[in-house]
Amino acid sequence: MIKKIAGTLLSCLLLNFSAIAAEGIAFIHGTGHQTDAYNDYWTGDFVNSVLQGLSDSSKYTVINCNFDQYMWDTQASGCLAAQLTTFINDKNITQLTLLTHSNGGNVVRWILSNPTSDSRYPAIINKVTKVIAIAPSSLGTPLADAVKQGNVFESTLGWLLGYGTDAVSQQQVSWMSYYNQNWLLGTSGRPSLPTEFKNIVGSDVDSAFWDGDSYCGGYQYQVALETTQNWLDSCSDGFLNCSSQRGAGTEWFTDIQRTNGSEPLSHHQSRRDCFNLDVIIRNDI
Amino acid sequence: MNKLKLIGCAFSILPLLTTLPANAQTPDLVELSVPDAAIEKQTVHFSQRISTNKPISFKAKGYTNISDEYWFETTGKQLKSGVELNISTPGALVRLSGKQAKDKYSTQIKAINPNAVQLFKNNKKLSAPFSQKVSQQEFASANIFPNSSALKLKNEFGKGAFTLKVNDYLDDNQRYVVNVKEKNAEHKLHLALAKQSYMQGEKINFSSKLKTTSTNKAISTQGRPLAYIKTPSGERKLLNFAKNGDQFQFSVPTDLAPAKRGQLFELHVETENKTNGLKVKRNAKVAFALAQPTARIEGDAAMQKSAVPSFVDVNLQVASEGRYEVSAVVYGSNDKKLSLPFMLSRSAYYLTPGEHAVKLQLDTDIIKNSGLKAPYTVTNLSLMDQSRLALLQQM
Repeated sequence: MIKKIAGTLLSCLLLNFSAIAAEGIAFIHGTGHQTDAYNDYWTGDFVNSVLQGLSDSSKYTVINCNFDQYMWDTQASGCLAAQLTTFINDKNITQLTLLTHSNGGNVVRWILSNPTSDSRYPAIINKVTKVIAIAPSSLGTPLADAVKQGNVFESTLGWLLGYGTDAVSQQQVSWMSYYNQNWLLGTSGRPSLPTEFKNIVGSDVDSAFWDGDSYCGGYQYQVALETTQNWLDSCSDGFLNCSSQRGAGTEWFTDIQRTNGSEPLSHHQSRRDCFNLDVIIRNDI
Repeated sequence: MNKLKLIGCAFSILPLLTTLPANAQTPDLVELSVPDAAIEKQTVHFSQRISTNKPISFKAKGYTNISDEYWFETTGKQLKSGVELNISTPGALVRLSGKQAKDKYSTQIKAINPNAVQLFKNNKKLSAPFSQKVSQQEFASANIFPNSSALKLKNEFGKGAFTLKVNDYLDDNQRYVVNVKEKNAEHKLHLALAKQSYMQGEKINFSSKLKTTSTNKAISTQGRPLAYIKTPSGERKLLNFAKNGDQFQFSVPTDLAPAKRGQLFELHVETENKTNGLKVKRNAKVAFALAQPTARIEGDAAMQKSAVPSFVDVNLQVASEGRYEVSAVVYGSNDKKLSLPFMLSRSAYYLTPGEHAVKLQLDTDIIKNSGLKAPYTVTNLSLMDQSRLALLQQM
């Protein structure tokens, strides 16, 4: 009898808790300076499909920051903290899921790993229930190194190679090794992150012109990504090795384990509603 | 411009309850101006649970770059007359990237049309030598390599010395980077640093070995490698280095342009060796941080004497105004009296130059709910300069 009453009370408490808990989700883009990430980075089809997993689909935010900067920059993690704080306060969010793509995972990891560097960070961290990190560049990418090759100049001439943003410098492999060892948590041998950080891993690129799957997310991207595989391991999404995507936190799944038709997700497809990715995420939030 | 001033600091030993020995080998502190960045001023404390099962280590780890590629700079004029390419692996990929002058952002760079690239071997032009061609537009569509094109050699043309020519109009003075990437190469350059974080003035050891992939053994090489430091601003400083056992050693040049917050320097090594009559060229690089001693932990840290301690006393000597974080891992004992890590605690303060007694706050709720018992101890005490993103001490 006592057990029954206790069970009923517990159920009531849980029901009440879920009634007052306000779940929200933030879509956090990757490298680049975004001003309309909803349309330009994610697309409305992807965002709106994922939002169907929320009990109140108005409780979302799409982040627009300058992730061409280093992850610690005020325009990167500082901007992200400001937009998350506003979202949490305006919508009374109590349980927050962060959905990141690519370098967005590193900017989030900066906040989670350096809670004392900004007085806004602890309040954000305490609200985050999980991070779903799609194709995070946790260990950097050899492509960033390739972009920076030869990027030296003699002071009299000043020749540079383009696309040399700070975010590209940061994502060079040996640079990320230093940051992971000293400033970031969650990689092997380092203390764990203060919240769950689970990865979705893109493992290959289809670029055969006769294969309709190559066209999801845009065929023109696929040709270039197939080429970049020359700098990468046999398991990669065209931008990042699988080892980098698995480098921090825990692996949730590798694309072909869960996608429709066991299709791989290239780095561009993993931010689109390709092969049921949007539904898989929707069912998890 | 950073203001640099040496401050002579007497090392003081304070009569505290010893849990962590301070490092007596720290250099003199320096006074630097406050970085031009938004730095938090509020004191912030944060503790988090950490897994008692996963092994953690704060010991400095080394890094090895294993390179199967090389790159060099050339000009439009040289590309039109032909540049030598040394290929050691069939099927190599060649990337050609136009460079932009730092002060000419508006200038259009002419990327190389892959259809205008010709390849010669033994002075004979090869017919259809490439299995794959990627244009500037295709790279640009994926925002990957700017002003670049790439070509993959057909395996049938093997290895050896080739000449690459561009049969197109190119500005004689336009600069290009030629990158030869030899995936699955038999010969790879292994460039290793024992750690990636150094204090200014510290000597740096590195090893540079050409190894065969099949045996993972170093092969004897001719001559010394070319080594230089690349500063974060892109400046290149050639290094004078000495042999130190099977490694090389150098002191970081003192006239390097300072890095901005968090930026890293790079050690670059270029080698060229003849192996079985084949010229093997390789470039490799490893990033490292150079910090200046802006503050240090004085004496020994002491945990509060309590059944459930709520803080650790730490004394700091600060020479440069800024924000400093002290952190440590807290251990407790299980039923088998085994000491296990269960909490990472950090406290950060904005401090002016001088001596400061600060508290590293512990979360008593995490301690109570840890399932572990006294004695509680702290290890891995660290001091970070958050203003300048520098690791100062780790004990």
